[in-house]
Amino acid sequence: MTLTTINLAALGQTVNLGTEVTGTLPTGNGGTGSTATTFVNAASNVTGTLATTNGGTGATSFAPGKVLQVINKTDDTYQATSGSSFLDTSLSQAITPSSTSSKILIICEQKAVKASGNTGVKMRLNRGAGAAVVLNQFQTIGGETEEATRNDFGSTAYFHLDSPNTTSATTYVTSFANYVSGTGAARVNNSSGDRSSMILMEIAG
Amino acid sequence: MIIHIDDAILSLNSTAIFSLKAPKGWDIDNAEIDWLESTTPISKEDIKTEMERLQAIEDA
Repeated sequence: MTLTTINLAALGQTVNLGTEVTGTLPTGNGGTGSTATTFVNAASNVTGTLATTNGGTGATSFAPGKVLQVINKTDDTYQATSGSSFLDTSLSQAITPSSTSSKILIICEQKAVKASGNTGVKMRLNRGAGAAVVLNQFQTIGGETEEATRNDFGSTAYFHLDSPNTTSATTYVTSFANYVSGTGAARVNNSSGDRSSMILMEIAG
Repeated sequence: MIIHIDDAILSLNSTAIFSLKAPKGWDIDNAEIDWLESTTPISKEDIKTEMERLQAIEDA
């Protein structure tokens, strides 16, 4: 039987769609237009990779590049130093990679100022306390204005993709120093409301 | 301008080498101060007194 039209009112009875209806419902009537009689159970019968030409990703695994964890740290602790040796700030955060192949994307912004003295401030981003591994630095004379009473400075941003090659807890921390020892003081989080931040993202390798 | 702890320290000893940490720049009571390179320590009381003196000048 080729089903073309069903008028339920004219039939005066119900139609069992499971047993009494065959054929194709045209797309114009809300159907798929398919003539298939067997359909795939997507919940249990689909495996493998859906090709990109069929709307899939083509990927056999979603691991590479996947964000595995995100940690955010903010800090408003005031610190100052008149020395030229680097001092770790309180903007410090640990992350434990799930694999040695993972990469850590560090997005960091540290507010700093050279408050007095005619030099500047030096900034660093490190892996490990005490500048164990210096990942990035801003070591020109940040904030110098040739003005001895005050050399204001904004903030330093770091964007760094690190490969710590470990599954042990790994700490990232910023540090700062006075450009020339004994020439005024360098500060971080100078004003009330100043807040520095660090975001750590583990990226599957 | 609010006078900070290091402003007062440098006012008392312009060549002092130190580092400090505090909840806020003016919170001398809760500050941790490390005196470096053989710098003679200055008491928190003296620093506080100097902060008040400098702030009075700033506010005048």
